[in-house]
Amino acid sequence: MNDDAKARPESNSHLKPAIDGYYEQLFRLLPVALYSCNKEGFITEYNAAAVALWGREPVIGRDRWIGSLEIYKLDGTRLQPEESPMARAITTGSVNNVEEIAIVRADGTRRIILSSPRLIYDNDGHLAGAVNMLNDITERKLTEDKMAHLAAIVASSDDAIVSKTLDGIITSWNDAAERILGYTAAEVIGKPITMLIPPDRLQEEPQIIDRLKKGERVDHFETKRITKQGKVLDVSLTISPVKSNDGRIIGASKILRDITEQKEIARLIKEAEDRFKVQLEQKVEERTGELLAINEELGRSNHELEQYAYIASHDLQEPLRKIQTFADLLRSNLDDPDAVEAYLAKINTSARRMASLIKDVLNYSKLSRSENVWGEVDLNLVLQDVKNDFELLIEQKLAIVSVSQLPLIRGDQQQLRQLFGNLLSNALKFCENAPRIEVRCTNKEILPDSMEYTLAPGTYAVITFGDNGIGFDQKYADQIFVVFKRLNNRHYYSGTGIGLALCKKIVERHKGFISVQSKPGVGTNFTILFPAQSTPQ
Amino acid sequence: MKNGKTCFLIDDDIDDQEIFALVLKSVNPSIACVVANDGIEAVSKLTKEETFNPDYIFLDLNMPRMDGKECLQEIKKIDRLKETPVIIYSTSSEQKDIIETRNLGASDYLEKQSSVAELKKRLAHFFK
Repeated sequence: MNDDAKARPESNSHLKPAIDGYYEQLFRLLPVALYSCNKEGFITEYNAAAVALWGREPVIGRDRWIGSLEIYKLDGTRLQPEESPMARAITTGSVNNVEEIAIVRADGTRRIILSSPRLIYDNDGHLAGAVNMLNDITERKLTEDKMAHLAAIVASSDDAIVSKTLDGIITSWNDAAERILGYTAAEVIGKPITMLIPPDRLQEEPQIIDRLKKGERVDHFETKRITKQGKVLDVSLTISPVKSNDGRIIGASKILRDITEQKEIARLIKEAEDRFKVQLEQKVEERTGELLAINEELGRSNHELEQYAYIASHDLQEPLRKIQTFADLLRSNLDDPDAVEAYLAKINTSARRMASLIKDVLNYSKLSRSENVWGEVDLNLVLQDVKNDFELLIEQKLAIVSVSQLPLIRGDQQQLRQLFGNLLSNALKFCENAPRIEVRCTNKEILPDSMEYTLAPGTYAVITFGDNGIGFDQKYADQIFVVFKRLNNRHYYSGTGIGLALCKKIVERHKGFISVQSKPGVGTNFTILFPAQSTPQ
Repeated sequence: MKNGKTCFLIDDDIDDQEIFALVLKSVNPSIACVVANDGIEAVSKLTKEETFNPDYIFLDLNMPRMDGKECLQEIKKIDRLKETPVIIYSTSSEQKDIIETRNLGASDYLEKQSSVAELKKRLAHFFK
């Protein structure tokens, strides 16, 4: 055997002498697929490895160029047998070094092979055919593809993927790592990973390494890392041990996600939520306040309705009942002219009382129903008007009314006139000596935490209305503002019992406050607070 | 009803005092009618004058200073008057007032009448 079975193109060796003996055995037993064709392309020889690769025995004298059923380019284009590397080598007389093609085996499976045809010449140097070695590279190709795929995934990842040794030395660095952390691969590979860790977090690294050595993963560990530019990022780390083929842990791969923005968004959401919560609470508080105010107003109006019902059933009935009673008595005493006169007078008194009660009740209820007619009211003018109304009574009683400068306030002129009218009328009425009536004004600041008044904070005009009348026991101070609560016998002091209730209502409608201090035999002093409109002139 | 009894009327209304006394006299002229102008005056009289032991107390509800209900409570505190009937004498005929005063110890409730004849009939019923 002079000739090499894997014939070199330039050698003159041919297949024939190798068939027998040592080379023939070599040809047949080689674990790599080999076959040969003559110059017409008919398969002349093939070995067991070729049969195993093709999954069939070629038919000698019929199969040309290829032993498999079909062949394809790697891009999927089908090749005819005469387009195969073997056919091209023999027909053109020249060979490519190696060529990757896909073959379809008899069972339909595909394999990727390296086809390496080599030309064979006869002793005269004429082309006799070719021998082809087929290397099955399917597995290698798959692995390569997978690795390329993985590499592409790593390269195109949005997350930084970095590997390091167990000593913490950086061994790989993807594009995203460069984008996020600012260093190029060249700048960091071979450098310690601690260059990325803020000084106050350096203790994290040994802890991470300890866990990796035990084969544990570190999942979504939120921490901070520093970029090349010195910016501190919020990051989420997932670190897995990397094992060698024999299972030893040789390093770690680290996926680093920049969550700075995410954190910032979470913070903004939290802030917005908190703000919203506060606003919501404020709204709820406001609404609750409004509801409470409405409720209070309803309560007041209900209470007033009850009072009207009471008035209708008691106080209005009372004069009516007397008129009927005295009419009865009058009838049975018609022959007594003095009695007739007396009962007629009583009937008259009751009728007048009835009229004034109806008038007062109407006034009081009108105040509930009517809208305030707001405007700037000069209390000096109001009081002057009231004084004019009572001029005659003031003269009769020898009363002295002294008034200091009063303020302008925002209010309803008619109501305020009624208020001063009632107060002046009371002062003139409940007295035994010549009335001395003093109206004074000062200012008062009500602070937000004031417990003294149930008034909104702010500046108030304080008007005092004092007299030297009969007064009353201070313990009745609250009662006098209640409708029909009278402290004095009507026989001695006339009145309907509505006047001061009306005063209280008017003051409250002006967002003010009225109170009274009194001492029997000394006098009574009403204090009225109104929200200040402007300083006293 | 024997002669020589005393009826104590507590009412701030002078007209009502007059009408009551007039009608009472026509029902039973032997009953003396003593009057107080309001609760304070009545309680003061009852506590100060220990020999004053009315057989009946007629009590108005709507009065200045101390109203009828307060006055009733004060009267019930006086030991020697524990058994003395207190009759509420009021313009009000409200169930609420009737129940409330009964719970406070009033023995009866007489609504002020607009007819003299009717009042006479009611009082006659008490003093028959």
